[in-house]
Amino acid sequence: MRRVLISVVLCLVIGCSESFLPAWAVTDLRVVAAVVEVEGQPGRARPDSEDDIEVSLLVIDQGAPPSDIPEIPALTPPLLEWSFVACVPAPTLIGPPICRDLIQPCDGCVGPSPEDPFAFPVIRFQVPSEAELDSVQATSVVVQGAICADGPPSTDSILRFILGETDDLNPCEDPNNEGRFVSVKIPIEVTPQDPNLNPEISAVELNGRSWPPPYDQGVPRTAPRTGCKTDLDAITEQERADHPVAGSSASSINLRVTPDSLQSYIAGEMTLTEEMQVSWLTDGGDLERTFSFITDLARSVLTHWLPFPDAPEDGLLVRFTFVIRDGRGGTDWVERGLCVLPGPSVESPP
Amino acid sequence: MLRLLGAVVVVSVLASGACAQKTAAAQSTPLITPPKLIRFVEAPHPEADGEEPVGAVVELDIVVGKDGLVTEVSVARSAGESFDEAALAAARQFVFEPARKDWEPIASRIRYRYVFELKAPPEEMTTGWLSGTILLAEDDSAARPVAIEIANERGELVRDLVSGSNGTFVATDLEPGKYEVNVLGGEYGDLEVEEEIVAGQVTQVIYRLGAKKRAAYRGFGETAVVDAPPREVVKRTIDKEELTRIPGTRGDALRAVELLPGVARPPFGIGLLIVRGAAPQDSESFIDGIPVPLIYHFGGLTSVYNSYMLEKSDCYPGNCSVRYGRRTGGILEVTTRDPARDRVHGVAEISVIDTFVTVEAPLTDKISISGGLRRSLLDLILPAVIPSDSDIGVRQYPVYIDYQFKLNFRPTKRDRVRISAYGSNDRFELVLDEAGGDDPAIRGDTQLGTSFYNNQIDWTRRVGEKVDQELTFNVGPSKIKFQLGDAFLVDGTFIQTYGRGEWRYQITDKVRLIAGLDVYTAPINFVYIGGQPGPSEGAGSQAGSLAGQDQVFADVDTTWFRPGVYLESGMKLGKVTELILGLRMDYFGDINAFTVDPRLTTIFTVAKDMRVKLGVGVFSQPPELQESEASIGNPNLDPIKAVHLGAGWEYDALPGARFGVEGFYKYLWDRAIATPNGEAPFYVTGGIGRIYGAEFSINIRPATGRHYFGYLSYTLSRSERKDGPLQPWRLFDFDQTHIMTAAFVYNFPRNWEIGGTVRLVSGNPNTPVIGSIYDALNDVYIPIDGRVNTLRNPLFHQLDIRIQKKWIFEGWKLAVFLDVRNVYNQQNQEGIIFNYDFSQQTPLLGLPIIPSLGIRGEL
Repeated sequence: MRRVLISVVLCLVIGCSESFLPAWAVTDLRVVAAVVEVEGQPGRARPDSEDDIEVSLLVIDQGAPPSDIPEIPALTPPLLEWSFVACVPAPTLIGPPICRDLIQPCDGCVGPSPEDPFAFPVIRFQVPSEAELDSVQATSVVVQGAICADGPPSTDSILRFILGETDDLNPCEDPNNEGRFVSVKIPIEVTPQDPNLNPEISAVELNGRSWPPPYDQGVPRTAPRTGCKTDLDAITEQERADHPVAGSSASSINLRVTPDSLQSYIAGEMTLTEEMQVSWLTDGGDLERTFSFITDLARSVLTHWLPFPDAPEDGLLVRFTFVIRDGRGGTDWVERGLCVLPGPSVESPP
Repeated sequence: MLRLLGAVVVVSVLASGACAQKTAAAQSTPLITPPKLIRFVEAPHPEADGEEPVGAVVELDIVVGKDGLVTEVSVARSAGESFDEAALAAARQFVFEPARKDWEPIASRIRYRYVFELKAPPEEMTTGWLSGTILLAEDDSAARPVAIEIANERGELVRDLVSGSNGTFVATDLEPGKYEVNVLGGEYGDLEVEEEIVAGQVTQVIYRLGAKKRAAYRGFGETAVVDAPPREVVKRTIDKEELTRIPGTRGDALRAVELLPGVARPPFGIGLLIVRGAAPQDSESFIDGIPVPLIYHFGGLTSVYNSYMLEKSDCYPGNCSVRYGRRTGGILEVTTRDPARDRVHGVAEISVIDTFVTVEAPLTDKISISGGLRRSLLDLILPAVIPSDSDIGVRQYPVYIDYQFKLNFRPTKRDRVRISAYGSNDRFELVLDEAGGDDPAIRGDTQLGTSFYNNQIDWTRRVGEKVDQELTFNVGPSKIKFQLGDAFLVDGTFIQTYGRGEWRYQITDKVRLIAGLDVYTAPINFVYIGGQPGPSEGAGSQAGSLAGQDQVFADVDTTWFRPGVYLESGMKLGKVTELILGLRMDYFGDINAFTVDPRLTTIFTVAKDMRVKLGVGVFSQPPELQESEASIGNPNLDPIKAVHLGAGWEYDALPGARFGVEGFYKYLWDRAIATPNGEAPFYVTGGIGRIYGAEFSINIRPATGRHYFGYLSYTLSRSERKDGPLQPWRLFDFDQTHIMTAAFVYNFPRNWEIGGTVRLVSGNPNTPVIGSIYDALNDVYIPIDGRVNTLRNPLFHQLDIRIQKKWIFEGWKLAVFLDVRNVYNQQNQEGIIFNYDFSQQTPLLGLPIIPSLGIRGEL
């Protein structure tokens, strides 16, 4: 406690280092969200005991360059392999969750399936019975494992560390592959009569207008990082003009959630209203901040994005990912894109 | 559990064995240095009418004051009236370097043989000498070297001298006539006198500086009376002459403690007291015998008690007396200065960091008072630094205030009553509109506030010829509030009530007995919201976001009751050995446990300038609040125990230089350790520790004058912990293998004072983060620590300097000082900063060069 106090005060007083890229800058493979859905009960974010649930992971990466081989498209993120376990956790208060009892069967815990090598992780299993959970005083279940790009994960690296055999902790068998350890804690619903629901993003606006097409509903996984200019041919002049150009001033991004997203709930003897944590992510330009919070009645929040100073002639595709969390297990996300073209050239006087 | 119990038993047996080796005792006399004649005056040879001159010896009894001047002289063996009178007249003009007892000047009586020798009649001289001694009017001590200009009647400078370190000077071969002597006394003012030189004669003079212009602050005020005799193997003192002059401390007395042997350097200089490898919470600070909850304002910039109102600070790194209990580490005892009884004095200072004023004055012959007030100025400076368009809303810029009040009352010669009130208040509040950086938990209201207000009365009475009594009582609230949005809150109020009674009985010349009782009680209201508290030490990197942690809640309403009794005997066994046996018993109501701590110290005076000290003792300490509180800790913990073994050697090898070597070994057991993963009962008894090392020191204090002083110390040590029977030994969080400190301050002519402090210290250990796990629920990364404290920061080195210039005016003086920390702007690593997913890291650098310019007026 003393060291926390000292560190925080020092950081506040003298300023923490700014030498790292902020968390909003997507430069490598990232898992950025997990949405839990209860089978047969649309919208529910927290399962009850014995519910069948589905956990979907959102994996992103910096946009891939155009493929050199026409038959093999650029993929963002690359081909993924993962290995997870679903379990009832041991009662820990410090550090990452520790699995106590495995939950089986677990559909999709190891992937991808041979039938769909391009799939993202979607894991399905049944929450144990109330008696099983109570026997170990568990208030949640956990999905935990590793996910890697272009190769299989190393499921025993943490175990090796625990045994003191190595100080290396690489999630992938091939240490040159990008990978992440992931833990998804899924709280068990305590008020089934008033369940927690996943929040929902209702709109994302750019500079006060609707997000311009063609990436207003997302960005295809196969869209390369450069060469997006041709994608703008199919949209109107006004919509093209809504795409900021390189070197232009900061654009505002306004994210709205549905009125029902901020639920009220009872904690102890108090009735509280959820706060919506917004995570802003992009693989190009500068975002104002990594996190914002929606707490007001307007159900919206604003941030700013500054384009980079220059772009290739055929355009640079910038991916945006916005994730909202209600702090109680509810999650939603959207992906957007902008094709950034070079700014107007400035003629130098003769 | 059996294995754990076994370890405890083994440790207990080892400790018992160590204690059982207490054997015979011995006794010592203090280190006495006899007076030394530094100015001899030759008596005229008595002429006997009609008789040939003869030789003679007169034996004199001379009483030398602690200022080195002769206060009494009488004839012990006569050589005749004329010789006696001549010898008496000459001896009254002698100047001595005073006798010393443990470095402190004392009055002494000596037998002196004044020998009248027959000499050949001198040749007739055509010139004369001027021989003199320059003393300080305040105490007639020898002045430090000053310039002396001697001009003839035509105003021509004929001599330009500098007095010696003992204040003496001599100008030879002066033509007969009148001279103007100008003594440039620096801070004590100049002195102009006219002298007449006669051919063939030595004109002897004594000049006293500062009779009119003297305004030196130090030197007035009463000294503490009825001080307890030394009872420790090692006691390191910084006296008031040096408290405010050590470079790099901004004149703060208690920051200077960090420069003493065995005291580790806290990161960022944040003012933690880390003594001989003990955790900060294992050591305790006292002001006038009362424990204080904090000794520094936040950030360690300044201590909470004004340095100009302190008498001294004593640091006991280990093996302390049974007077001190409830801690297994070191003790810092700060003694405040009694108010002046001669006239009104005051100090006012302003620097870029803070400003303060002190005033003290006698009210009657028996009552004198003093008071001080200090306020930081950071809240006036920072608004210009923090941009107005920042997401950071500052509700309260960092500000600290402290105050001191003291009333001294001497109703009789046997009694002294002191009433004092002092306190400190620190506040800092931010409103973070949005999450800062990559941690979603750092937002909302962020507050840091600490305060304490102590009110104290103590009564010292000489009950009889052989019994002294000291009664002390203190009461005052302490508060702490630290909040980080909704994720973390510590909000506590403690009302400390502390009473001590001590009786010291000198049974015979060689046997002393001390009995004491102290009671510490504290009603506590405490709210904690945050992650499960981990171990107070050895917790690893402690990186990661609060957002990913399960919150725990504690609402504590309890009362600590911790009484203790102690008994100590000091016995002198012969001329060489002094034996001090002590026993302390404590009860810790919060964990319902008793402890019994025997302690033994022996001091061997093997030569008049050399002493050897040995000590062994058992020390006990209750667990921390978060460890023993039932809602977040374990109330069934045992007290933490430690055994201290120490051996010391002191040698006054040279006048003004004391060498010391101390070796120490400490073994700790029954430490509270956190359970794996923070599971209930959260903490168990079972950690052990070992600390060992050696300290080498040289204290440089001039035998006469006070124009320079210095410290040179080197500590070699290792401090390790083991957090359970199956765990490996690991380094203590602040283990510093090498600590080398050199500090030196010199007074130059014309009131310039320049000093420097150099420190070379091993970097603190740190824990590697070897990876992370993405927590999808909270969108943060949970770091995975490698082995605790297996890495170490690079060597720390730093130079601090302090330059001060004083001007003396009629009745007051003015000083301008520049205190520069980290003069060459060394970028010392104090820790590690990680990026959001712990895949990258960079050093967290220490404080850059910090110049602090200030001005101070003294009345």
